Amino acid sequence: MQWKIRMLLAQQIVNGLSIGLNYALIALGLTLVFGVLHVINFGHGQVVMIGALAALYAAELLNLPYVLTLPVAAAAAGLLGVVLHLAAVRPVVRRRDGHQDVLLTTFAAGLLIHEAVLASRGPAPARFDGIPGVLHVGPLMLTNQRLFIIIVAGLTLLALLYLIRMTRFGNELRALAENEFAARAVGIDTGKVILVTFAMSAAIGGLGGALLAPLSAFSPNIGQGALMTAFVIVVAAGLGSVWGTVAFAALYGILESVLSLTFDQGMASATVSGLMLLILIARPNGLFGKA
Amino acid sequence: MLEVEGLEVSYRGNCAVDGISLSIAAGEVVALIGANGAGKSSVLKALMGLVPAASKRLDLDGSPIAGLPTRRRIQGGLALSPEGRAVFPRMSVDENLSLGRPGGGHEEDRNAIRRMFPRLSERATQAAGTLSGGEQQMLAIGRALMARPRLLLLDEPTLGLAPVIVQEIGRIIDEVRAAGTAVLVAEQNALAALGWANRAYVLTNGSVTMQGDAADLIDNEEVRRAYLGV
Repeated sequence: MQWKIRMLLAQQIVNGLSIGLNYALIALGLTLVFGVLHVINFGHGQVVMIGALAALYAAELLNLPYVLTLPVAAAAAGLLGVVLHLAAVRPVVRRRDGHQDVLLTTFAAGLLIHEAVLASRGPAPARFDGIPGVLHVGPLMLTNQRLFIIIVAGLTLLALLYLIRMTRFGNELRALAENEFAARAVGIDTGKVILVTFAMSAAIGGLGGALLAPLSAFSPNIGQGALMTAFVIVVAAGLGSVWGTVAFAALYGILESVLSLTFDQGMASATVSGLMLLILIARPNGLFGKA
Repeated sequence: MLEVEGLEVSYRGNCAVDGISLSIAAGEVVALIGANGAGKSSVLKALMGLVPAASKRLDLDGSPIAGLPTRRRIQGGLALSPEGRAVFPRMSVDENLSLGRPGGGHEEDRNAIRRMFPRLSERATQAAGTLSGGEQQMLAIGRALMARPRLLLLDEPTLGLAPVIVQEIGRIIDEVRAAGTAVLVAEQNALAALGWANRAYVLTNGSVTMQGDAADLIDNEEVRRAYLGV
């Protein structure tokens, strides 16, 4: 009996890691944009949804195998990120109180995207096939889709961390996040860095959407949940902290999975969010934020 | 090498720089002195293209630079060490230095900076935010020098620093000039600045009220009363 519980626990930890890394992809989009612009992009959830939708259409209309729909998802979402930036962020962010306006304009743009999708295809969920099959490792069982998420999300996160830490663009991005005036003073094209950051954040968010959807189904409403989860993660981790976001997303996924052994899914998510609230009360700048 | 005529800067309708003119020759050290809020910092920022500015003439080596983005001005031979140091605190000393040159720093330039600032060399991998105020100032100057400027702009380099560091900054300015780079330094510490400079401009409420050889200004009764406290 005890052995069985341990196995169940191990099973849920692996499942949770998978979904946590997926959350990390989505949450990093919020973190990176916050880093360079100090605003929360409330349209990000709908970008995630469009990523999943683009993958679905690529599979349905172009008959692409699932793996090849992922670049389509990232490209479509990345493009949408650029549009979102040019239409809803750039025109308002430099105005007086522009940062507060951006919360509203990105939220409004997200609503617009959501309503457009609802109007064009209705609210019904659609079946979304990922990688079929199940992998047995001893007593543990991992669906191939979850394994695939661990690999793709893990590699994407590593590539992203490399980009941020080791490349010229990453240095410019971090410089801008740390001191905007100094970044301009050394000749960094801050407008370009912000635009690329938006595109990149949206692309990995879209990829996250296309990886996440096969675990349940595609629904035009997946964006809201994705945004709320990502928001809780980045705030609790400490806004702007890249490593914190990744670590916290993994933790969030694992806790949520393990708690779903005893609670239902909704209660498990609520409990994790409650824990995040406690963290914020104890450490107002987040667990990994500067104290 | 730098010719400025009728430079104006205003923030939300408030005039910070009111039509000043100045010129700097190659290899010259020029001081811009004046009280806090006189517009010194705005002049340097306007030269770098960091604040909106208007001018009748803004030429670097005979070609107009007004309207060019900061990056192009740096490529044209200007570089700024900003007021308050403004290093990137969580990035390493080396990362800060390499950001000084658009497109990436060269190893030989970094080595030259390390020779000039041995303390920075010892702390190459340390986060810039952990350096002392004086070291951060050296880093900000070193970062600007990474761009191999022909005119180095220094904004309040001695602000809040101990007298021994102020002397050190004087030594660096001498070294930079000896290497053929002109320097325009904005300073509230008029005594130090006039000691370093060949010539100086005195800025009051956004206008140039006096100018001349630094040695003459140091003896000028009005300057002594207003800025040297003697």
